Amino acid sequence: MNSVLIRWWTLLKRESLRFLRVPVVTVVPALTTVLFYFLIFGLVIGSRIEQIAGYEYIAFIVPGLLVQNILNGSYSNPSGSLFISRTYGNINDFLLAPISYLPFTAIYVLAGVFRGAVLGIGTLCIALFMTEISIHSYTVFFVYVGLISTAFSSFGLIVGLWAEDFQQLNIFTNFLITPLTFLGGVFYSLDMVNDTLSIVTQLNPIYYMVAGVRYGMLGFEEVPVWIGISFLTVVSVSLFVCAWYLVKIGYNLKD
Amino acid sequence: MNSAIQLDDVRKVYNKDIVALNNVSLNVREGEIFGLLGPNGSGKTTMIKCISQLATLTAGRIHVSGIDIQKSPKDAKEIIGLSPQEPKADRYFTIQTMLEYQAGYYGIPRVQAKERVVTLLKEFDLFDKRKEEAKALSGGMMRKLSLLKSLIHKPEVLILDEPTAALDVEARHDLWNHVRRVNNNGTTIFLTTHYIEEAEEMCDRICFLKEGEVIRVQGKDDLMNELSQNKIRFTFEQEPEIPGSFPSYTWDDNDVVITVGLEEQSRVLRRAIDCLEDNNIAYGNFTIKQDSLENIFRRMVQ
Repeated sequence: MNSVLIRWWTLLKRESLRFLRVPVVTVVPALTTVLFYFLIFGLVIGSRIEQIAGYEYIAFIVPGLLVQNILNGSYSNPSGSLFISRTYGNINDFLLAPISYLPFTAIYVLAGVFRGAVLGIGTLCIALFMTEISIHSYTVFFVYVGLISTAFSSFGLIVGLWAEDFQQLNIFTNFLITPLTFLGGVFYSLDMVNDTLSIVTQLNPIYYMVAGVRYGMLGFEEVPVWIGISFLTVVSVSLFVCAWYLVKIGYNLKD
Repeated sequence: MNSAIQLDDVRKVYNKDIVALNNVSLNVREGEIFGLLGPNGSGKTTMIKCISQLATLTAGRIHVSGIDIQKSPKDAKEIIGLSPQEPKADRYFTIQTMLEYQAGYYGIPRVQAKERVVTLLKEFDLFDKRKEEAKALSGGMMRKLSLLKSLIHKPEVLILDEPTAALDVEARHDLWNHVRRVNNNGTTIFLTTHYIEEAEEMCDRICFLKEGEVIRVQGKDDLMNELSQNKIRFTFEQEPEIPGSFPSYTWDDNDVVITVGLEEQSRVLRRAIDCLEDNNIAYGNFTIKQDSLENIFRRMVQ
């Protein structure tokens, strides 16, 4: 391995192993939460709900819960890691190293994607005990999952650069991502809700992510797939470029 | 002698109007120990941050071993090691793992990195702590770890920002011995310290910085020769009448004190003694108190 690849690989390894070193904080809570969602919404409440488009309710909510954990994991890794490194000062270890800004950004995003994937796999493993899992279109499924995790990982990197304290770090999780996720069709289809909530849902970008993954898994197409992929591609690329630019100018990294 | 660090008209302004460095030009020679002295807020840490690319320049150019840090930032980073003012460590990993990662960030292959880490840990007496996390280390050990980290990639230029701050005397001496050994192996040392006596003992050349401007850069010996104000003190049993041919002096109780530069000290002392003897003035004793770099520093920054 040449020296440039060693630098990139080391940083990627560090960023990925960091969250695996503290699973009680980074992995277990998300999987425990999803387990309770399956138990309460899927088994207890879901048993009283009719099938949706021919699917059991618990099978219907699997894609949404998968998206929820993937985007939360992807977002949390770069935002938390970068913020903590800035707060504790060891960010200088990476800034002093001869690593260019583009790979630096890409590695942080990639590590976020990895955490999203770990939580996604964990979610699917739990779902396997609750219902039958199938993939209708592997291409659509993986394109969506890849774009969602890239978009939220890039967004997490931006927030990790921007946040000055833990309060700011948690603002987006508590007041943006969580509400949007709950109103993004994770637990319902559009025909289950009134017109107002239907409009609100359709204005919510996370709805298109959930709908896309749901199509990839179940083949249930609520929104044309190409619209979701086009929209997500634009969002992912824009957020990544924005994160790269902020890293390049040393926003909250350099004096 | 080649230049290890070259600053040309470097200017750094914070928030549009706080001038931290004002057109600073400086040349640090290869292989020397160069000390940067100045009061708090004089711009020492800013200068270090600019050289190590932790701060962006407002204007000017910096070269490290001939490499323009703005044109080739990665190449410059490869040959610079920095031990910052407040030592920090990656809190998620053991000391050994953290150091192996540190080596990896500089592209050192895994096997070589492991060997280098073990060698350095032994050299710095931290080998027994290798399986612990950095939070288990004392302040002195953290300083040593910080120095060790900055040396992992064998830098040509080592920058130390107040490396002995808050260390006890023994830990300071220990650290300076490590720094001397690194310098003896050919690494240029660029350091700041608040312990002026350390700069006096360690540095080949010294730069005085005040309010973001270089006041003086000089070899330590030349500086002492030029700016020392030694005190020659004559004690008398009773207050004598000093002849007019006696060198310029002041009274301190019954003592006569002549303030004199290092270079003219012998000549002035001879003249004073001759004058007293020629006029049959008995004196009890005379002492010479050498000036210190600390006093020179105080006079310069006032």
